[in-house]
Amino acid sequence: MTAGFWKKLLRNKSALIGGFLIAIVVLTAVFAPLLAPCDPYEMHMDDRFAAPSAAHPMGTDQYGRDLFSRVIYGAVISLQVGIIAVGVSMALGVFLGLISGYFGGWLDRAVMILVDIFLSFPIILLAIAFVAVLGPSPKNVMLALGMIYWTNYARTVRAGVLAAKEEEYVLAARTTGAGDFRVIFLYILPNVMAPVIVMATLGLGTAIISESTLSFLGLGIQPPAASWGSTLAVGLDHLHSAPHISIFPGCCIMLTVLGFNLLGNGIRDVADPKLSRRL
Amino acid sequence: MKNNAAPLLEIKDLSVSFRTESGRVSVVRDVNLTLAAGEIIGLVGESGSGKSVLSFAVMGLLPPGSGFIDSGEILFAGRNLPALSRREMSGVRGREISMIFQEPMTSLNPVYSIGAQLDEVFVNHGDRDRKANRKRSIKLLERVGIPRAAEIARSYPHQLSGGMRQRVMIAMAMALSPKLLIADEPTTALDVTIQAQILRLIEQMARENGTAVIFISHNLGVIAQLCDVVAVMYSSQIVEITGAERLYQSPAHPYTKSLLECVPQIGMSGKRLNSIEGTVPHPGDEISGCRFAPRCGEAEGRCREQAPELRRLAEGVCCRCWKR
Repeated sequence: MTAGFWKKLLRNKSALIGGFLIAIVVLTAVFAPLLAPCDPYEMHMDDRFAAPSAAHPMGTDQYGRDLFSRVIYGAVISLQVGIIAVGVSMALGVFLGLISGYFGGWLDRAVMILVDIFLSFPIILLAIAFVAVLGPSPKNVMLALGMIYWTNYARTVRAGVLAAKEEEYVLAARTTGAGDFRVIFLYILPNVMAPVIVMATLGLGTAIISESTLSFLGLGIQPPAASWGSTLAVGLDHLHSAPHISIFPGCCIMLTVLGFNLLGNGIRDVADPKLSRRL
Repeated sequence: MKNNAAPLLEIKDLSVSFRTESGRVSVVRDVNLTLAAGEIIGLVGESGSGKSVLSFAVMGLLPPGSGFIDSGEILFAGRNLPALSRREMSGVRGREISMIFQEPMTSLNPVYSIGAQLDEVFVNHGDRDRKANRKRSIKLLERVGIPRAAEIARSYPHQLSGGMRQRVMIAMAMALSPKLLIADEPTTALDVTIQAQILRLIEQMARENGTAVIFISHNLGVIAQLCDVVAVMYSSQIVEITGAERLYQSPAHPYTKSLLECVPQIGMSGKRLNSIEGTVPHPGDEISGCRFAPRCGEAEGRCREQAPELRRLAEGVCCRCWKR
């Protein structure tokens, strides 16, 4: 990325606000042990369902645990799940998209049929099925989400490869004796990465929502781990008496996803002005 | 330019076809061509006559899955190129045969610097010493007449003009002193003053390195300036092979003749510029007689019934016509 790209990105309001929100979440996650006023797992049975106060800025949950600390630790989990899930799906999707677009033929058909099969299921159903088979654990949630979202990357990259492989510079590279894998990774990949970066940024938001959804349904991060989704689910039982238990993690999910979406849109506008009208 | 040693490139009875939705389409038919080391041959013909396909067949870069060599051999320095494996062919490309394209604006990768792309040629052929590669790249840029070569090596394709980029492409093609250079209309996209410079550069590089050149063009003037021998293609066949000077003085094939009459000349004001009646047959059309007969002023009965062979008329002159 050139200096001009960063300059334009800083001038883009959407990217700036999104980046600001993400920066807060990232810093919170990184410095969670320093920022959290209490141990997120320490219970105080005489202090259950406490409303927000100076001692507990977001109140306490059904076991008297400090909600503020739990929300801070939840940022760690959400980011971790988001980044690894997106990493897995991106690696898988980009690789399959590259080889299916470049080599074509039966390989291409096989990959695209696989994509169609994955896309024919409602995403959340597929995620539930994966986690149900693998067993609910943070690792399996990341894996399941990665296994589901790769299809978008594969399709986008394949389309880009189909266009890029006809470019004369690819042909020119081959006339200088570059082998297939050099051509794919050195000449084609960098030229199809722009939409992938945008998709990955937007995908982080989606992955965090999916993790929260799975945790909400009891299939994701298991208690006592402080996932935003599972905290939200617990709060549902006490929505009338102690709505703060659901409201605060809900807001965190909302703001984090909003941040990634704004940042993603901003990057898209800056990286590829042609794309912004299409999506 | 007569050379009695074994030719560098010998194309024997080469036929290439493309698979399309409406069946096989022959785009190169029974092409025979020999090229000695250091020789510059011009390949002339209209768009769609099969010039470029022929060069891609030599490079082994016919589109996989749709372009096929149906028959014939491409012997290069004693090896039959179509029989080589993908890996072996990658070793030939760039080191022994290289290519320059028509569009210098799109032939360079937009995401890498000029120097990085030149270095790639060395890396592709096993030289991984980065510093040494860059030194060689800069020297190459100097050789093709690029000023401030070290600085240009750090710049990106979009920062250079078309002429500069074509110089870079030539540097890339000549990086490993190949034995054969295929230049596919390398000057068509450039303006006239730059054209002359690039032509001179290709000629100079080729003569210095002893590189044989296949120069593809539809510009007869350019061909005359540069080439030793000219092969004229019409509708997927070679119809005439002759010396460059002889082409102008006594063209043998009726098509070559009419082609020359279509070139505007200074001092011909007031006369209508000639054009050839009719259109080139579709490559897939099977024509029982000579493929040029429907447009030929001299055609007679036999021309429409029997396909002529490429026959030798004199020393260094071959022609595919019944009437010669």
